[in-house]
Amino acid sequence: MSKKIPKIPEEAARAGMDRRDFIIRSVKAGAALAAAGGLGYFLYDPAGPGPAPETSSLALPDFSIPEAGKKIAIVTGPDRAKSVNSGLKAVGGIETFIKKGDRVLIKVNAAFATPPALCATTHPEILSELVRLCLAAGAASVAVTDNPINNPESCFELSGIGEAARSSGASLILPKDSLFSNLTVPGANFIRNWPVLLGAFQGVTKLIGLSPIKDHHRSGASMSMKNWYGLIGGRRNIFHQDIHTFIRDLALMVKPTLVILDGTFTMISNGPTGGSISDLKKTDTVIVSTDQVAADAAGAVLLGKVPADLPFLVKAEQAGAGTTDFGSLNPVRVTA
Amino acid sequence: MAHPGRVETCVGLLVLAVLAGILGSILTVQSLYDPALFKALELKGNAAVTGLIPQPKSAGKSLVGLAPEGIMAAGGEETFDAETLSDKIDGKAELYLSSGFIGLTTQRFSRAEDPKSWFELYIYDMGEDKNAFSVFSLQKRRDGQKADLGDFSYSTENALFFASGSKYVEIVAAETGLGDQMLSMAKKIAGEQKPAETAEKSEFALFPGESLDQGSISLHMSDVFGFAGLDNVYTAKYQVGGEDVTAFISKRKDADESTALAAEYGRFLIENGATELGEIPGAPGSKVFKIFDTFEAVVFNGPFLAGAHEVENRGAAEEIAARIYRKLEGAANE
Amino acid sequence: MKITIIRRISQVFFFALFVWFCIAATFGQAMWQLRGWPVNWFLQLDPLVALANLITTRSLYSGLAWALATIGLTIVLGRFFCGWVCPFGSIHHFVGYMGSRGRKASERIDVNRYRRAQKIKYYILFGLLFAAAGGLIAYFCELSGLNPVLPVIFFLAVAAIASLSAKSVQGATKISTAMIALAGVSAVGLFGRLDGVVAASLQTGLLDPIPLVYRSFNLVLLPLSDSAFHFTSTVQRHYGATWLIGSIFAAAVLLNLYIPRFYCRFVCPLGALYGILGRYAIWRVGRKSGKCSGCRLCDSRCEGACEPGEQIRVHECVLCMNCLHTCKDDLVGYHTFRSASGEVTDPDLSRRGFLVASLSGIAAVPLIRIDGKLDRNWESTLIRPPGSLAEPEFLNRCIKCDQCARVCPTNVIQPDEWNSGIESLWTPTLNFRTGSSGCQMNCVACGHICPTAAIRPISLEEKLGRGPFEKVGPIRIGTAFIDRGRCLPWAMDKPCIVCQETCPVSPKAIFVKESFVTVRGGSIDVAGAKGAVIELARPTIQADRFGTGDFFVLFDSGSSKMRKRIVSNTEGAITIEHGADLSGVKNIELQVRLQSPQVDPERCTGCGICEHECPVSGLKAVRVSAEGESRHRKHSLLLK
Repeated sequence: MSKKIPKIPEEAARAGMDRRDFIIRSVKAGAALAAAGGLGYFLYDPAGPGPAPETSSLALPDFSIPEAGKKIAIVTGPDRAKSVNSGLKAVGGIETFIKKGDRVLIKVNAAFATPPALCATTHPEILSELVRLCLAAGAASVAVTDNPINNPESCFELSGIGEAARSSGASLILPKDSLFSNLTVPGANFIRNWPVLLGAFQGVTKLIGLSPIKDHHRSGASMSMKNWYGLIGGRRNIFHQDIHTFIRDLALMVKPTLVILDGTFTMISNGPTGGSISDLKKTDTVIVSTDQVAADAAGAVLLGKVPADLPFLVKAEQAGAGTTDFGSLNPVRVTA
Repeated sequence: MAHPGRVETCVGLLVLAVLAGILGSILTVQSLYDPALFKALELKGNAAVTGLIPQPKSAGKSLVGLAPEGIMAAGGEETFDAETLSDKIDGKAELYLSSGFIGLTTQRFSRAEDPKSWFELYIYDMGEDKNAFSVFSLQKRRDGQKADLGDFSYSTENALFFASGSKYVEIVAAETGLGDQMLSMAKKIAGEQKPAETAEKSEFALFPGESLDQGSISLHMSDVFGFAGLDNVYTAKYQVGGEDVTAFISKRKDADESTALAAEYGRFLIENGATELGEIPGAPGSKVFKIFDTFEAVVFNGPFLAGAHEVENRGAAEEIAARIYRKLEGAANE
Repeated sequence: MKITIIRRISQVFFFALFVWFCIAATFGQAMWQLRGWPVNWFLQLDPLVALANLITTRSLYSGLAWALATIGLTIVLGRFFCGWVCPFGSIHHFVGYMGSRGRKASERIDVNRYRRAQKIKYYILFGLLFAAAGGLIAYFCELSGLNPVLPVIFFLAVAAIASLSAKSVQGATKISTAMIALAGVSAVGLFGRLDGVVAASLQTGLLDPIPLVYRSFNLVLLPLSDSAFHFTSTVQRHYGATWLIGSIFAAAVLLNLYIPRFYCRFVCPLGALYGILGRYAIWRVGRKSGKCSGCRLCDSRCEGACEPGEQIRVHECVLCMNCLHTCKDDLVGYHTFRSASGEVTDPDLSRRGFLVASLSGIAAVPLIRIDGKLDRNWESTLIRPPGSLAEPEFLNRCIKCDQCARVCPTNVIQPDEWNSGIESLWTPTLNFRTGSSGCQMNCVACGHICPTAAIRPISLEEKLGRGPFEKVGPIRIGTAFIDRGRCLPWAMDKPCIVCQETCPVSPKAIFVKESFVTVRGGSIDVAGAKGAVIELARPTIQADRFGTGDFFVLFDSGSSKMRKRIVSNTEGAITIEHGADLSGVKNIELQVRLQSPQVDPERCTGCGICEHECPVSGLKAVRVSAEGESRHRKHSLLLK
């Protein structure tokens, strides 16, 4: 197969063209050289990657309001919505905590895909009322989040939390992988360079923990502090090896604006999953507090326990996260 | 076909020069390296890997778990094997090495509230109960008080020493006043040891009881009295007429061996300048030697070799040797 | 001096240097061993290694900066590397030349004509580079989270420059299409996070000729020749997955007999990269003006199949310079001007082909990673060398050159087959059965030879967790697990403490649980006892079997049970150690003392020496798997 060989242009014209072409080509080659050299220079890395960093600069902000003081209210009454209203009034009113324009994050307990009636998760009624109160107090937005044990979508739906959030005007933040970043909590034993749901806190100015009161097989009780477990990612079940110290770490990690414990029904046995209504006891109590340790100490009473029965309470107190002697906060006792 | 032009040749030579330059640079570069990257592996060899050298047995679990309330670890756990023991205890290593030493594990502990108030725990793994007793007995401090840790234990003002099973343990504090914590830790360590399966220390009973200093019994594992052939020798101190007498007993395999060893030891003494003085009355085959200013009595009976060592008074040496001989007679006939 | 002679000298020089580097990559300090020989030099000169790493890591690691020299020279001179330096190219050149002997000039001209299929290598290059670019795209999307305008401006700017600079309308459209596709992907990033969907995987090493030829020499040819000469290693070294490495190498070499430089012309992604880099070369092969007799002898020895007599395809020319001397009319030369008969500067890639190649590259990675091998479905049998980065970062760097497998003094580092995921093909993994021992405590050779820091150059202190690393502890590559169903003491009551004895960690990571167990048929009637000798009622036991020190006699001494070690035995009598009275004993039990091994996960570093030494030689009774490896916190077993 032969191809036709093209004709050669006139010599003189060619020489001029060649010169022009050569200069353009040289400039381009020079530019390419400079680009390659520059890129190489700026991205040169003589040492290579080091060991994975131990610490991270990220931290959770302190959401507490010091001027609100250490307060606790213990409300008696069968109606969750009324109780939470009375409780908030008793600690100074929602306006003390939620200001106009605040972006509120409510950390619920949506650990299991179980119905509200089992009280293994935050009850939708109390959530709806809390969202409504926050928005009424002028909150710009309210978001609800948790990283459940079971599949997140089904947990939020089956527990009724998803529907309660939507209908009351809150958004739902599902625990996507991209929302987790590694966090090291100063003074913590275990939360060191560990994935935490920090993405959910973007722009958040106030944090409320809203959880049920439950018996817990490993830790003895699951209340406000144990509820922060749902902010932890990764293979967190290994922390069950030393759950009490870990709950203390959680209390060090999170400084909430408020915690609310729903003891309208208390799961007194077979926790934390429960599974039978007979695991519940009607205790008609809601606890609202600015001190998570005090709230949990008050909640423990409903489980028939004292702080000494729950090492994590003592450890959290020693670590300075609050007081187990909730009586010293002069609890306001009201009936809703 | 064109012949290569001058330019072509020049370019060619230039390329060859570049190649020569590359070769030169590579030959230079090959000698510039960090030998440390290679050394470590060569030094260590694979002896440990192939299991030829006995490795220290791990304490099984961490020593930290033994700390009583109020005491915390003040440093990491360290272990030493036969090769590295002297890094820790320097010249004393030989004492342990000659007694079957396998491994040493040490760790420092302090009061939780005061890190300056600390003690260090040494656990020597001696492999066998007898070895542990040997190193215990050879270092025994005379001013020690018996500790609540069985027969082979004592405490001093700031330290605690005991042998338990195949382990010899020392707990040495930086100050006085940590005794209770140390004792509590020691009890945990002793509790983990299995009690001896057999009464290895049966030679104890062979020393005639009268005027015997019971606490002075010790076991020498090898090269006893400077004589290479003599090993496994128990010694004990006697008070005879206000004078210290060292008695010794060694159990051999059988009567033939003890007889032969007695003769060898005698020859060893004579080679070293001793003169033979004769037999001790009532102890057939026995011999008394004078070596420099001291006397050495050697008797044998059944599988036992015994005697008195470096005694200043001939009578005392003969008396003790004869008493031991009589006692051995009973044991040998059993 | 003919320039072609110089070229041959250069080729022989670099090929010899390459072979020397392969030999010298033996761990040790002798003159012929590793010392300071720059055995990675060819890999470091390879701009595809550098570019791919630059794309995945946005950094240029240490020695990879050598690639700037190659890139610079290629920009000025054209594809000199292919014709003058590349050891793989030289093999093809030589075999192709041998295959052409006896062929008539017309046949040679025919076999060296340009084929449209030569553009396949460009598609391969784009596919591989775009597979590596996923992370970069995600990175731009990440930036867009802060400022959505940024990546859009970036892509538009690149598209504009490309359109202006491209010679033909067709070329501009091609580049714009690519940019629009990229902008589309990043637009997705404006609305949703792309992490997890778009990710990078560096797979250039599959076909990059330099890693390929290193791999083939070090893992196939060298061990094969060593099995005859025992030069670099006295014991035969073994490598897995070599059937594929060897077959690909053999196929690439043998195809030269069909078409010379087959691999270079049709497959080589590095050649394709050089073709693009040499686009503006100052010097280029071409025709002077003058009368061409049209004999086409210039094609007869053309290595690149670039048709120098016609419109020379600059991007295919490997500067073999043969045409300078095969031209009867002396018209061909290496000049600063373009060929008088015209040039084709760009490979005529089709827009479809380009889109298919680049988008398949981008899509391939998420497609593969749906399998979850980088997530919950991670492969516990994949044990990476000490100092390896976490898996995604590792795959971002590893070029599959297998220098680590070459240098490993105990031969435990092996090229992986695809059981740990297709992406990990030929990347290093440890196999403690193949090696001559486990991973040695005091060796960090693999991290120091790795040209891309996929295995970090760790110090001994860091590996052993000493000095400043005391707090972090030693680097673990996995954890040993005892298979109690196969372990001799656990499963069969046979004494064995090999793993405990060989554990190099101090204090040992393997400890034993002691127990005494009556052997099968070990309850025996006694006729009588005399001293330490027990006469059995029936001579039923095997002579000399129980005198090993592991066996004991348990009997009732009247007050309590006693256990005594057996010193020796015949069929009818057992001698035990002294110190017991057996008079009146009617029955004894023969017991074995077992020391059953257990692993302390806090101490175990996964070195695998126990697995290597385990006497259960098939499926070992103690095996290391990657749980607990330091590089992945998620894989840890313990709170720490």
